[in-house]
Amino acid sequence: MATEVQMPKNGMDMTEGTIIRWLKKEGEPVEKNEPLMEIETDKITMEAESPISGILLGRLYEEGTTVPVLTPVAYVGEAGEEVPAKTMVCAAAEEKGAGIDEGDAGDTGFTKGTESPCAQIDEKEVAATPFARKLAADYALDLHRVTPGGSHGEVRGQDVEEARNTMPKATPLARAMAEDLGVDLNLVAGSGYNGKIVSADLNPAAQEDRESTDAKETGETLGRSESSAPLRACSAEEEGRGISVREAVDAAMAEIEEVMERRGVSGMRRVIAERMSASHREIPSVTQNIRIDVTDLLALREAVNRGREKNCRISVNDFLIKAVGIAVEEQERFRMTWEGTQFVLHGRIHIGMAVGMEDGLLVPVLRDVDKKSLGQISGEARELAKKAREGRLRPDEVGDARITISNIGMYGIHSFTPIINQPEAAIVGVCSPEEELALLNGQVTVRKKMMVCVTYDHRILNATEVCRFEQRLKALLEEPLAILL
Amino acid sequence: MTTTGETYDVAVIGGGPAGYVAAIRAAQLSGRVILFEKDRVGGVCLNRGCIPTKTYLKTAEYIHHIQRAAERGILVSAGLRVDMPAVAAYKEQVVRKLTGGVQTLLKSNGVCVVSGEAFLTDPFHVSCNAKVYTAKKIILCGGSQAKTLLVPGADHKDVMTSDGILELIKVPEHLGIIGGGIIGCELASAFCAFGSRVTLIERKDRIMSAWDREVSKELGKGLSQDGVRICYDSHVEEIADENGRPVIVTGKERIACDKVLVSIGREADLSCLGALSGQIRLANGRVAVDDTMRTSVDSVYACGDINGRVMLAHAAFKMGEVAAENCMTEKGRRCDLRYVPSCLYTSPESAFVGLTQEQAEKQYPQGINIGRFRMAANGRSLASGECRGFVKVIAEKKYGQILGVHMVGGTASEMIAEPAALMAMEVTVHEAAEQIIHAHPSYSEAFAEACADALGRCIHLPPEPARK
Repeated sequence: MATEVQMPKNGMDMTEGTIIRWLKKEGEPVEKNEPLMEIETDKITMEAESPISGILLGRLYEEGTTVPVLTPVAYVGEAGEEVPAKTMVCAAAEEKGAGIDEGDAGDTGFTKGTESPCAQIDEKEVAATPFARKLAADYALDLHRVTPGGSHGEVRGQDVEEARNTMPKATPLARAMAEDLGVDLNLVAGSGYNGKIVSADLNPAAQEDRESTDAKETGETLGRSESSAPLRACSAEEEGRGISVREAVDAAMAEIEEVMERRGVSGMRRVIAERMSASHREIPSVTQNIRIDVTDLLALREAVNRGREKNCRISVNDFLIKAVGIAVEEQERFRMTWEGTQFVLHGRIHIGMAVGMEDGLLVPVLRDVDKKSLGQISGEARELAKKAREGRLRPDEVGDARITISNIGMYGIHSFTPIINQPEAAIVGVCSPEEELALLNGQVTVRKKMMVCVTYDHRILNATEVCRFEQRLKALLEEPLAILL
Repeated sequence: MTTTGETYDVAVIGGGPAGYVAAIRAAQLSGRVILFEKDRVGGVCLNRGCIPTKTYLKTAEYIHHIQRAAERGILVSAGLRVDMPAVAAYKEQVVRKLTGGVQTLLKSNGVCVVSGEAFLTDPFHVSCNAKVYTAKKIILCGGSQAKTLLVPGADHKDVMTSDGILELIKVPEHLGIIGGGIIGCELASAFCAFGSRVTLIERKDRIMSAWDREVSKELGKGLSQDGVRICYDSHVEEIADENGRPVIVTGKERIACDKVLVSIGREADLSCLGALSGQIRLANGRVAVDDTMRTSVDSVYACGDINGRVMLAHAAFKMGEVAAENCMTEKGRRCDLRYVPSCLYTSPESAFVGLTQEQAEKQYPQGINIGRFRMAANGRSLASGECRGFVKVIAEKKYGQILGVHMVGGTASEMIAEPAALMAMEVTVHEAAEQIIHAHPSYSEAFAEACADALGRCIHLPPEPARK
């Protein structure tokens, strides 16, 4: 019986693959694990190997064809062996590829071979006998992992039994956890007897957490997770106080590392740490700086504020929010988010503003900036910043911004590289206005210039687009009356 | 002092459960092993703990059966009388048989046993009987001693620890017991059956306070039914003397006794640390070790009560085994003590493994399921005429991991082996309820029923709403 070669499923989210190039001709011998074809997924290009040694008996698709994963694409077997009816297999694959509802395939009673009445195709396209299917369900075993032994390529009960015997050894709890967490046990190194996988192998962090809690509670055990750290002899005074070993170890380590103290992490700091790391890790980011002459802006601001109460004066930041809002409205790529396979264009223009706090950072969001006047924006921004500092922000006052403004101009900063607040496309960093001499109409004058640093997600935006954005921002801030319109 | 020429692979100080097991295991791994014991091998467990008390408790069980024989139609004509010297002699016989067995095992494994008190002189030398022995690795198994009561009058001649009470050859008329832990409860149960009037003084609001609260309650009820008077929330202020008899004075009352047992816990015996005391790190008065049983000094290991991780003989066995393997190999085996069962051999007996409900609630805030099955609904228990007790299973909600199992009644100390095994193998409550078949009638059925109850599908209990 010829062995079928399937379009491999490489990863959870791979649904189909394209055959770019066949590496073997029909009739050519191929070794087990020798590359047979080159395939391309939505992410990568790779070679797919032959599951056995033999002769490439049939190629079912032309180069350039896209087929769903696990669809048979070729057969390898002995010279002269017959391959299953090609048209049947192809028809089904194409039907599937054309987006026919998956449930239908089973109902039609389609069989992979030509005669076997019991080899049915289920929604996952694995041919298996009903008994095999039941066993697989009982054992919580993925039929895709089972090598079919049936005469028509179907998985039989005994194949499932065999597969079960070669399954990675794991405790029932570890198995339940792996299924729940979507972890492939084949990739987990077991720490139990003879390599058996135990729950701790799936979630060592949680385990250690729990153990350290235990240790703290009882105050007497030497943390299990720290066993690898060598103990250090302690002095008689230390014993006398009856301190726990964990404390003693911490103290010893602190001495070595000159640690002053170890502090717990607040919820906010933890979220910031996680989000910033994710942003830094996931986004190919670029920062572009532009110097903007804000002399006129500062003058306009002064004029606007003349006569205004101190607590309702318009700030430079308010002008910035409005200007960024205008630029974002004009340039739609700044309103896009990247969702792995597609861009999503958003309509409403919400702008986040980073508010630094005693212990952390919050980003309240001004909604629909394009529909609000500078005065309104100023009032709302002031209120939001106040609420953020007092920890009174409502859930609807954070999140879903298109872009964030991080203004550290009040601290004399010349330039910096802000990190994007995911999933936004960019972040605008605002620095201090700095006085410098400039020639204006042949006269030496003092101008105030301010650096604006835009960090952007290069998956969504490219340099020229961001240049246009920064140019626009520059134009708006240098001719600030336009902002007021 | 003379230094012997020989270098041993492993020297073990103390021949209790941790020590003799460590010595045998090291010898199995082809080590040249020397073991020092100041008393008799077998430690507290064999000589003055587990085994002698269990012998007494079996005697007590006989008494209970005889007392209740009439219920079953067995008429015992002569009155019941306890011949305490014979009871003690029988116990001594059992102890000798077992300690003799351990001696034979050590000898047949080629372990050199030295009789005498030993202590460290440096990380590679042990001194005993004015001789110094050299070893590449040293395992400290010095064990523990009973904590003494620090109140005025505690040195009264009739105030004793468990060591003393096991030597009694006269049943005290009124026995006062201070401390309602394992030793206190078991000896209360035994001497109550022997005919003593027993008063148990407990500092907290429940006996067995380290155990699950429901278990404490059931055990307290059981002891009281058998005639033990329990004084809760009572602090002993002093032991007074009235006409030569000890009187326990608590904040609430004065209890005149004939003998007083102090069973307020045990503390590590650190005398074997010798010259390294002050250098080997301690924690809470015990030798601090990591999971491989190694102390802060590389060549020195410590197992059993001396490290205080779990002060139970069976935990000490495992620790000794692990330490010996780590002395003889580079494997760095770790000792997992999460699933050590604890047993109480009172009547009814009790056992648990894993977490108490309070601990489980704290550690698994995402939710736990609790299943219970009362022995009163268990066929074997009814047939045996002992319907007290229950089995309680605590399982984590999401995956059904069994977190703790608590038993009172039946043969709890035997039955606990099943959940201990299932938990160590991470079998969940689902498999326990669905796949494992228990013999009928058997006490163990109660465990299966409690597992099913944790999943809300117990056959032999009415549905939850109908229970009250």
